[in-house]
Amino acid sequence: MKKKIIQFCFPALLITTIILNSCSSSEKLSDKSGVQLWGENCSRCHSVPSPSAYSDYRWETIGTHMRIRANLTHYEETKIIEFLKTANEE
Amino acid sequence: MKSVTFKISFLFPAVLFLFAGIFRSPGKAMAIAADSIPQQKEKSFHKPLLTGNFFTQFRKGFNDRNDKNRASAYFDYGFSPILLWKISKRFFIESELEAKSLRGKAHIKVGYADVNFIAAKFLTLQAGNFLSPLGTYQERLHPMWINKLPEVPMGFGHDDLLPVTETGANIRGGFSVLKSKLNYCFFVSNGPILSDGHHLKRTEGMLLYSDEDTSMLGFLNLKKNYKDNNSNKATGGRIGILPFPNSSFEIGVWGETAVVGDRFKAHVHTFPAGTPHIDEPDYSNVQSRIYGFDFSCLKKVSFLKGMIDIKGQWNEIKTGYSKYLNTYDTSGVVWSYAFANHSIDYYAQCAYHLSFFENNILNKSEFCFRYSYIKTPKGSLWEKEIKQYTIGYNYWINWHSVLKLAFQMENGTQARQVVLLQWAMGF
Repeated sequence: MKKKIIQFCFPALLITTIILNSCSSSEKLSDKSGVQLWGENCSRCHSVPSPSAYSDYRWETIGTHMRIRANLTHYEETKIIEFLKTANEE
Repeated sequence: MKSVTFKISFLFPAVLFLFAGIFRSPGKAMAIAADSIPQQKEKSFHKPLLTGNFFTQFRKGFNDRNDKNRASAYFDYGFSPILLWKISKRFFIESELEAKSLRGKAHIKVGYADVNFIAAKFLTLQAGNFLSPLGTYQERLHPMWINKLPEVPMGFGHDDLLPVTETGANIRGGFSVLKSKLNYCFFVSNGPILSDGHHLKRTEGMLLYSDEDTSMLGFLNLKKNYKDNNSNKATGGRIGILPFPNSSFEIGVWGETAVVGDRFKAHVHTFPAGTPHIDEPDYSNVQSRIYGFDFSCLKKVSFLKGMIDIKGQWNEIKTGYSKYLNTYDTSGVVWSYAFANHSIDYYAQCAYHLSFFENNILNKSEFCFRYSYIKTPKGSLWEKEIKQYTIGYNYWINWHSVLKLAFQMENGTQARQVVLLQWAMGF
């Protein structure tokens, strides 16, 4: 019985999310800024650090680490690190 | 036959991704947003970075049926320094050393150690001992300063139902498709070992993941080695989809398959004189599948002035029907019994961070509830069925340091209540 519930729920959930997504008018990934991607991606797993938490070279290393660990796209990694470095200098 | 189909279903997309990554010319084939990024000036060397996490906790148990004669209050600690080294634009090394003491048992071990080569914008090759991509918990959520509650869900710890790490090679990456994102990971590894009770007593039929010697657990556990018991390699992978453009929701499916039995007959038992002879079981064709799904949803809820974070993972293990020997009878009689390992465990968790309250204490507060369930096979010596409920309050001192207070209740073959107070920090 449990198996049947799961077999039904999983595709149903997937289809629902795809339908909902198709109605969404949000931006494409390529239109997003670094600060937006930083807010959206980091908080999926952990609390979001401030740009001043690490130096620029550390952000580069952490960025690559997170890209691999969380399967971020190259675009996300690059834009987030760009933002963190810029904000760090301010 | 089923196994071959299962393996093909993992290997085919893996090979496809590999070839696509190597032969893909920029700007063609896929609409990858990364193409619009200007190339960074390559640095030949980056300094290694020492990071990691630390926790210390007090654990007080009540009404523990399995712990009557022992102290039911413990101070525990864990310290896991992580070395991250971006050797060049494409090469990256990471390694974790794990030192911890839980309920009086201390160990030091290599958490993971792997090398990564970024072959293309959406393809990274990884090799060594890496965190298991079976679900998101081990890879992304297990450090204590990230885990919302002081303890891991049932079945997700070391030497538990699921592997914490895999030793082998892995391809992985993420890319955007229209407004959604997809990520993938396919690996080949040594895989699990079917226990015949030789390495760990009373675990016959269980899957072991790192050939650890119990005599070492009390002091120093350097993960002796990753001794594989046969020439068969495990294959597996995970595919995740983030359908919404704001990345607030992710769902992933994953699985692993392997021949887990010994190529040769296991250790040979000596039967006491006068007892009937029993043939030694042959495990060489015993096969196992581990599969499941995970989900994650993070949403700002304006009327609650906070963030709601929902996470969960379902794991199922199916190992072929096999005969095992019970050699623990005090009379010396050895008898056989048989079962198929069908184990299930899962957790679902909801956290509410009061982020948008103006009060400085409230906006650092977070409430969390988790339900966790585990069921191991009937007829095994490690049979159990437990439901676990945990409710917790977290106070965030800053973004990487948290004080957690939790009450945990377990019902089933193991019943107890536990109060936990933990300080966890990432650095």
